[in-house]
Parts: sequence; structure tokens; C-alpha cells
Amino acid sequence: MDIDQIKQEMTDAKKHHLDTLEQLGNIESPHLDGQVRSLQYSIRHAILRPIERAEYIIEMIEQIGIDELPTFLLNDWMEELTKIKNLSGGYDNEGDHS
Amino acid sequence: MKETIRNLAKALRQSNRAYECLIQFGDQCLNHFVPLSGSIENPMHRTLLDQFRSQCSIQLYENEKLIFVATKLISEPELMDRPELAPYLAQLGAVDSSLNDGLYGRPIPGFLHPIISESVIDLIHQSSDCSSWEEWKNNLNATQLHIQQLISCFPIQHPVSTILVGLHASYTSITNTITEQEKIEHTLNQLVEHSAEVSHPEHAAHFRLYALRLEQQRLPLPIYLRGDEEE
Repeated sequence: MDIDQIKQEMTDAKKHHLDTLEQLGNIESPHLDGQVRSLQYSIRHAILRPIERAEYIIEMIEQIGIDELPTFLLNDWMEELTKIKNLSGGYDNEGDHS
Repeated sequence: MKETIRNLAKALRQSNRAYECLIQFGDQCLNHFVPLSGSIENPMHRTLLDQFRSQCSIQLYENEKLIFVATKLISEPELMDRPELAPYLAQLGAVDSSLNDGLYGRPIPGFLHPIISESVIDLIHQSSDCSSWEEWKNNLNATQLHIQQLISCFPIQHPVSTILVGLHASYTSITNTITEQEKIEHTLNQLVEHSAEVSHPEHAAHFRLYALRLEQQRLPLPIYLRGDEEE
């Protein structure tokens, strides 16, 4: 697994979703308020939180060293990073989506 | 003839010292195993160890019988002409043949070639107490290295040879478990340290769960007691 590639993809995805959150925050329409909040909640909890968690996991892997991790934990973390890779892939060309 | 028997007696006495060292080594391994068995389950290891110690005792017993015959013949050479001593002379003859065969000659119970005996005596060392997984691992690695060296001392026909190979494999399995324990301890410390720095409570809770899972995987550190003896 290419950790550097995942890190880059996460940075791109995070930037994209933070921009989206900012744009959603700028919407001033009372009748869309509910939908906007629901969307903001989904982005924060279903996308940004897992990405942040993956950032911590990568930080831990780099700090401890991949060969020094207990086997079961390494398997769990690799699975989590694979999910994140699928979640955050494809945002490298999405920088300007205004 | 008398000179030959004298040489045989000398070689047999050296074998005797080597077997005594091996028995001592078996006891050291058992002293490792008794506290370890409270943390790491490995029933095969105990079986192999008992087999090894039993085989060493059998070899030592055979050796002492041969030494007795040789000593008796040296002190009373006239006994050599007695027909009832012929089987004992034949046994000494077999030892002589094995000695002349060289390092890995024909396998005679109770006899080791003097060069092999010397290597065995040199290899055996005193064990030390362990107060951390790292010390256990170092100690077991040293023992495993001795076993590896002992394997090369014994020809495959010797009954101890295969047992030593089994013991070596068993030690590998135990040291793998210890390596995993070291990793768990190290990761747990890092995780606890790291979770204090995590800003979001949701992430902190997530990492605490990992810490709990690691905690569950930890094995108690074996305690080496001076009085540990065979159960």
C-alpha cells in the first residue's frame, strides 16, 4: 500500500470537502436550511472524520514503524486505510469546483 | 589392550561430563519453561523438553555402565580373560570402533566423540533471570542458538538429535509470541501517548478502543522464581 499516495489523496479530498462546507455555509436560503445542515453533517461525519482518523493512523504507523506493529492491528489499520483510499480517491482534479 | 581401555575410559569420562552438561542445560530450559508456561501455552515444548532430559539421563546411565566396566578392567586386567565379561568387552569394542570412526561415527549409547563432548561442554552456559519480554527474548535466543549449535554436534542417528530439532522449532514459536508481545507493548505505549494529543473526542474514543484491544492481547510477564522446579 502506497501511504504517500493515500496521504495526497486525503489532502485533495479534504480540501474539496472543506471548500464544499464553506460554500454550503454561504447559502442563505431558509427553505434549503434543513437540507444544507444535513449535507454538512454528512460531510463532517461520514467523510472528514474518517479522513482525520486515517491521518492519525498514518501518523502512528510512521511513528511506530510498519514492522513494529502487532499483526492484528496492522491488518485492521490497513483495512481502514483501504476504505479511506476508496473514499478519498479521484479528488485530485476537483480543486476548482466553484 | 590396557592402554586402549585407558583411552576409552578417558573418552567415556569426557562423554560423561558432556551428558551432565546436557542434563544441566535441560534443567535450565525447564527453568525457562515453567514460568513461561503461565503466559504462553506450548504443550509440545514441555513434551520435547521432557523427552530431551529423559534421553540425556538414559545416555548418562549407559555411559556410567561403560565407565564402570572400563575402570574395573583397568584396575583388574585379569578379568579380561573371564568369559562372562565378553559382552562387556564387546560393548567397549563398539565404543572403540566409534572413536576410530571419527566425529560422527557409529552411534553408541552413552558415548560421544571427545571433540563433540568438548564442544557440548563449551556451549552450555548459565542462564540468567529475566524481568522484561526483551530479556526473555534475548535469553531464549541465546538458548536457541545453543540448541542450534548442539544440533550440529549430534549425528542424525543419535536419539537426541531429532529432539533438539523439535526443541529449536518450539523455541522459534515461543520467541515469535514474545516478539508480538513486545510490539503490543510498544504500540500500546505510543497509542496511549498519542490519544492524549488527539483533539477530537470521537477520535480519542476510537483510539482508546484500539488501546483496549491491545490491552486484551497482552500476556502476563513470566515471573522467574528461584524455587521453580519440575511439577
